[in-house]
Amino acid sequence: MFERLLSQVTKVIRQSLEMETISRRDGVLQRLDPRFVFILLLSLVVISVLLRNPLSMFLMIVLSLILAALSKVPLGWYLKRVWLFVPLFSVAILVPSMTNLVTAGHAFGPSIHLFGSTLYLTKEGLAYAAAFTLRVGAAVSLSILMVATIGWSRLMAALAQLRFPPSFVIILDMTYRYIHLLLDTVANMFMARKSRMVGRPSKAEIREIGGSSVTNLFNKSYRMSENVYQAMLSRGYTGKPRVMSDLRASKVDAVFTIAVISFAVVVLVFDWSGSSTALHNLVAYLGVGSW
Amino acid sequence: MTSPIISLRDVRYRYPDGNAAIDGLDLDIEQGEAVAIVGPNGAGKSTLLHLIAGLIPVSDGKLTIDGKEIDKRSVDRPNELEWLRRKLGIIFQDSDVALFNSTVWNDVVFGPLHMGLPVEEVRARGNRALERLGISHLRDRAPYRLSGGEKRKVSIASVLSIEPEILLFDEPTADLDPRSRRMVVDLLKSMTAEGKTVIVATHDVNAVPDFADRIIVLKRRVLASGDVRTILSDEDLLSASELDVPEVARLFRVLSSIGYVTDELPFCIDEAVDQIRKRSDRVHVHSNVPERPMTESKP
Repeated sequence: MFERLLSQVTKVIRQSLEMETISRRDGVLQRLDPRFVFILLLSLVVISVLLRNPLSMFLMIVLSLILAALSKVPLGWYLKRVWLFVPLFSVAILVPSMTNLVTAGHAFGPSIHLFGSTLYLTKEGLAYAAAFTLRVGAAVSLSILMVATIGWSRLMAALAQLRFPPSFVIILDMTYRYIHLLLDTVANMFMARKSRMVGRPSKAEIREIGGSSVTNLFNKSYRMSENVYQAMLSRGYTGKPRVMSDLRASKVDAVFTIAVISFAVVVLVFDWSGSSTALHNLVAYLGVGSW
Repeated sequence: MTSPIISLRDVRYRYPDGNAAIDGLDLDIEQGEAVAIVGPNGAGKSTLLHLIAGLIPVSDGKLTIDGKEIDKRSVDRPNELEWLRRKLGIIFQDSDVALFNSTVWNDVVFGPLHMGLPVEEVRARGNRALERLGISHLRDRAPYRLSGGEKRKVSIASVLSIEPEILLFDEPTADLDPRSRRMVVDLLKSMTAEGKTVIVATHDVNAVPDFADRIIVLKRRVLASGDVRTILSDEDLLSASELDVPEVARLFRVLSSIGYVTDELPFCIDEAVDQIRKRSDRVHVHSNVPERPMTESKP
């Protein structure tokens, strides 16, 4: 139990460190003003969600990979983060939709007889599941790219300058900051307990330890929240948060952002026009089909 | 005679459960004074700092800062509160409490920004504070990625950027490595030299003689107040307050017991060096042996 928890905590901290390292690389998205990167990637996420044709979704995934490569994001790391999680998540929630129970259509593969009814996968259900997986994959790819290339502090500065409510920015910022402290505290707490234990605890002991640890952690968190609030008050906080940002954008930022969003809009237009031939032509023109 | 910058008269503070943390405390602190507040755990040192900083209201009694009374209603008077925040800065013991932003820079400018200063002034103060602590290179780092010593420096910088007249430090040397501890003690000395009023709640009696003009022994009320030598020489008082003398003094007590007698018991390294020099001069004059210059041994 302790080993698993400690390794999970370590994994989260390591992933956050990896993201910070990537955000400091000299890549295309890292060089752009974070406000433009935020607008660019958010627009691409929205467009990805609006797409219907799997081919257009595939194009968006390819676009995210190109942006990742230009931003010096390790592709192995990137693909693993998206494509290990997304298919598992999709299959878990889409199993019923793939069958004739939810999506009627033509049978695909063998059928099973259960309680007097026939259960089988449908081509339409599978097509829906594939489209869903690609759509989620595209959206997740772009979201990960946002966090990995902007970096948390620059993302917060971007949100502040984009006129997001200061209280929203401060709460988000503090949540992120104190999650790290919470993880450290959890890791230290369990490490300390592990150092004083001999043998494998029984299930009842594990429940007892878990319960007391949660209580202890809650008390610590509560006390800390009071102290943090006092620290804020002592430095002039009066309930009206203010944030300062020094970001400066250039024309290159705007041109790059507009160009990429325009491309995505073209894909969306083709997608919505229902012209799969046009999409195939676009794919062939871009040479993506030869991958 | 000028009036004290901080004055507490029969001040009491009770926790919500009714227990008294501060019980009938009378205290005056003059402008530019460097005061160390010492006492055992639970003596009310941190509570006293929080009271002075206006973070918790006095339950009874009167607290005045630079002639202005600070009471429960001060919280509802924004102008008074802003005046107090500019006048006085508090450095918390736990740096994780003080560093609540995602970058060092955001933490350092938080104070000036929330005091409504112009952006250029906020920037200038932030840069000055970072330079003073020698941590400009940490500007864009996340506080949770810093070492304990770095966190302490950033939390001090985040208060220095307010440029307050009175500085309250809660256990500033706790949990620090020797080098960071030295840095903090030097900073306390330089603050005092600049004429700031410095109040330090601490267990670290070794650091006290380095910066303090006066020691206040606290145990829910003022048990004793006096200059460093007077307080640290009072063994009964130290014993009653669960305190000990600095290690330098302990060493010289042992030396004295084996015949190495000095004029006065030293309480810090500088005093010890003085005493050794004086004694050495006396021995040389007495034995008519010329003093041998100190040389560094070469490997």
